[in-house]
Amino acid sequence: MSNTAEKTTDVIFRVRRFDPEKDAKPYYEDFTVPCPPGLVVLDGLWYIKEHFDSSLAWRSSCRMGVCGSCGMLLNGKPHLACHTQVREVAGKILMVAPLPNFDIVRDLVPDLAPMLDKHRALKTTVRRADTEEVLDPTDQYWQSPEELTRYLQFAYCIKCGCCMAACPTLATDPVYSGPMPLAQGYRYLTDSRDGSFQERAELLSGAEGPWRCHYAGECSAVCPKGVDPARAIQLMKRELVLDYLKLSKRAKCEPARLVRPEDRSGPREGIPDAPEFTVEGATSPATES
Amino acid sequence: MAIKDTKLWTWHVLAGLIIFVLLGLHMLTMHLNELLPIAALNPAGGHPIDWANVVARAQQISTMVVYILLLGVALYHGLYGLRNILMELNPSQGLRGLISGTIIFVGVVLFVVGTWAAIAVRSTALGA
Repeated sequence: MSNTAEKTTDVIFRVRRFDPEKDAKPYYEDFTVPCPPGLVVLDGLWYIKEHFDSSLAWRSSCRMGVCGSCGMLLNGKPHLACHTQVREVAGKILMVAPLPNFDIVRDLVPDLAPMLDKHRALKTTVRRADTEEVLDPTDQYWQSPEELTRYLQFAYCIKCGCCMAACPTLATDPVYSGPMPLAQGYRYLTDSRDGSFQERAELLSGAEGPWRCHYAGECSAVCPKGVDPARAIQLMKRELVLDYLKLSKRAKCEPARLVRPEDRSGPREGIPDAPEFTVEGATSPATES
Repeated sequence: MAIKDTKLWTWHVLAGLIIFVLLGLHMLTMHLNELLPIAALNPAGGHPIDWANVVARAQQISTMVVYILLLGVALYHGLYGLRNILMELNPSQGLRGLISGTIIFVGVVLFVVGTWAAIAVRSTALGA
């Protein structure tokens, strides 16, 4: 036997089950899964599906912490199942449950639609007056590294819902938008290419806005991508208050313009040319313009 | 049209800042007089709640204004916080209106009573 096999230990996956067509209420079911070092929870669930119960339902896709599908509650904390090794979170027993603060579709599948509706309601796209350029771009908008840095970390959000599951305010207040939509609202509020500050400020001025955040900070603590929604919400409050007091510089900014020829610079010294394209007929976007 | 939370929250924060200053003034007058003695706050000397000091302060219009202002901002700050807590209990739309209305009513009544008391104290002190 290999060294890996010697270190394999049995872990009981205590999985919350619920089928709305058959069950009156959720219940827990135990499965014993042999766990070698490095096994992620998602692999453990696949093991259960293949060996014990093919009806076990969850949502997953990329298996590499990018798609945000497999958020679930592991030993009481929201995690991505594909991103969490069993031995990081479990001793002999691993409690696996769907994300709280969401309705349950089945077993470990939360209904993320309300979260995505709230996200959409805050108009989380770059919105500008020059609609034709947005829909059929002729060039890029100019943005400085500093302007990019203001929102960059919030753009890493994968909409997995872990922050929503950890939010104590959202647990009692369904009107509150929650950390993910608000962090994304701030991401576009502060994006220098966006030209709809006042429209956003109006959208965020009610109960859906950031005002009911208690700053528990759990959303940031559980984010698997290192995004800090709690910070975004506090920064959003500051920006909206400054706007109300007519002190916001961001509100007065014109949205970023298109790149001008003088903004362009050649490649830095010492950087070799890109290799030739291996696909016949392919051209670089840079040479097209 | 309902007042937007942006405005209410901004005034909540500003009220907190004003409370910090005015409550600091109150603490300076009533509790920190030995550490930082300021003659204008306790003109008769001695303990801040000595009768002579109480009457002297009550005669000052600035004292009356400060306490009426402190009452107003403290009521706003506290009652807005209470409203937020109650709103998080997820009441129905009708109940939300009732909560807001009751809180505004209670706030206005307490402010009127407190303001009347502050003015009455000054009138009494001026007659003393």
